[in-house]
Amino acid sequence: MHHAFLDRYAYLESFVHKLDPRMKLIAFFLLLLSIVLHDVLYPRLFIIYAAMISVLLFISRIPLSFILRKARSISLISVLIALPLPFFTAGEKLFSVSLPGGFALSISRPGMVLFLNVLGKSFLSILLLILLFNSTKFPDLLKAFERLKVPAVMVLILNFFYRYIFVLIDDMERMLVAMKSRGPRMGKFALFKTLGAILGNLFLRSFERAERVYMAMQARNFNGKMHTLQSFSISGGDLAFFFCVLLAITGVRFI
Amino acid sequence: MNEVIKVTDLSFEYPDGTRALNAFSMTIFKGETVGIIGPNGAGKSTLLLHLNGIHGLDDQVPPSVRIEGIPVTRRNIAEIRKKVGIVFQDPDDQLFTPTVFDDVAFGPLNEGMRKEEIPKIVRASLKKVGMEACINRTSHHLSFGEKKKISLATILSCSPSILILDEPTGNLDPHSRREFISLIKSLELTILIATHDLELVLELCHRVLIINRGQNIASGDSRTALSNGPLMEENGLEIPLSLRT
Repeated sequence: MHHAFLDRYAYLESFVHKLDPRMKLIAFFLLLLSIVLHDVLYPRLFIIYAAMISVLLFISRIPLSFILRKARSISLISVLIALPLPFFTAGEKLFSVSLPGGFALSISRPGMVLFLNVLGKSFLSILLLILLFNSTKFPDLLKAFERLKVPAVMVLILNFFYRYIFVLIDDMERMLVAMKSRGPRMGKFALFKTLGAILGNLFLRSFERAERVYMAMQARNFNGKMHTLQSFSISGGDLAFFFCVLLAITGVRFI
Repeated sequence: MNEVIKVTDLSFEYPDGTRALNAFSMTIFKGETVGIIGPNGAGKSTLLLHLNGIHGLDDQVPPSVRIEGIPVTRRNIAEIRKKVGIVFQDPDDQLFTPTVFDDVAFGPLNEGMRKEEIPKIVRASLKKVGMEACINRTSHHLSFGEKKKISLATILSCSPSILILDEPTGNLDPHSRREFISLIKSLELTILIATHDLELVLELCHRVLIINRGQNIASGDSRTALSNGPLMEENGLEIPLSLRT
């Protein structure tokens, strides 16, 4: 079966891709914190951060169309979450419409600022995360998490997620094909009923697979602790990048 | 000849009450390649899982399995699993880490080998199965045949003295099957193969063991046993095409 891989562009060879995953993770995390921790993300701050991220995106050579497409679908969630803010925040009214029945719909200035603030911060954060996940191979990212002492169980769960998501998708596709070949014109009710059965089946299959995987792990002397080898090394370029990011986020504080 | 696997009166019941093994006994000698055949649900896979203590580690019951003279008990389990390597039927179960390197390194790392030695061991094991070029690839990008060979490498990296293969040629295309058979032939280990591929048994195994309803029905020279029509039919099998007259 053919899937779009999760980290399709992580195998490019740019400066951003070649950075030590641990350094990259810490630097991106600091940059993310810096964006999120501003009280208000004024337009000039937004432009400065956007410029920084754009430079990184440009160096990484990940296609802009891919990044924007990803960002659009993820941003939709933050738009939905932030949407009520202009209407339900108290303060100076920018705009008001009276509705029948004595109700009024109004947009407040502080609400609007908050709305744009949430939107701007989440958009920049999303760009940064897309860049991180598409410039680092997922296995390397997991190893970086491990070295940075992220709890082993979480790393293990992510590890299995990455390894088995495609196997599960394959399983599901096979069941869907089997469904379509036996019921090409199903009514809505029958369709939902069958989809429910397929999901249940998928759950049972995953459960059984988990048992078999655990047996295979035990057979190779697994004792609850995952050991991996990594060959990360921090170069001059990594340090230079890290200090540039540090300098930039400190500099922004004085603007 | 040295006895490397000795199973005496082994019985096993699954929690749902299915009796998978019923007073099963067998002996495997050093250097043998033995085929274990029988119908679906005969107890083949259950038997294999007892040989390295995945099933049957009950401290209340005296151990029924001995590997190179060592009883399979909770205390000896690390040593037993070092000696007995199992290649499972579905390579997606066997390859559970994101990259080929990590998977092949998993066993040696758990066995506490020195970290400096590991890359060498991984490379050597992948070389044995002709998959050196895949060392940095992610497992889900591989073909079924490649996954199968790498599954074998994940076991060879632990340097077992006994290799157990569960349905090694299932789902393989003829070319990959041939490659995999040549690979198994090249290994100088005691090998146990549970399979429905009777031509494979005929080609690789010195001896065959027929298992049905959890019991050891017959054991003997592969060619003689596989050409015994009534015996094969009674046990849900058939004479392989190449032995039919």
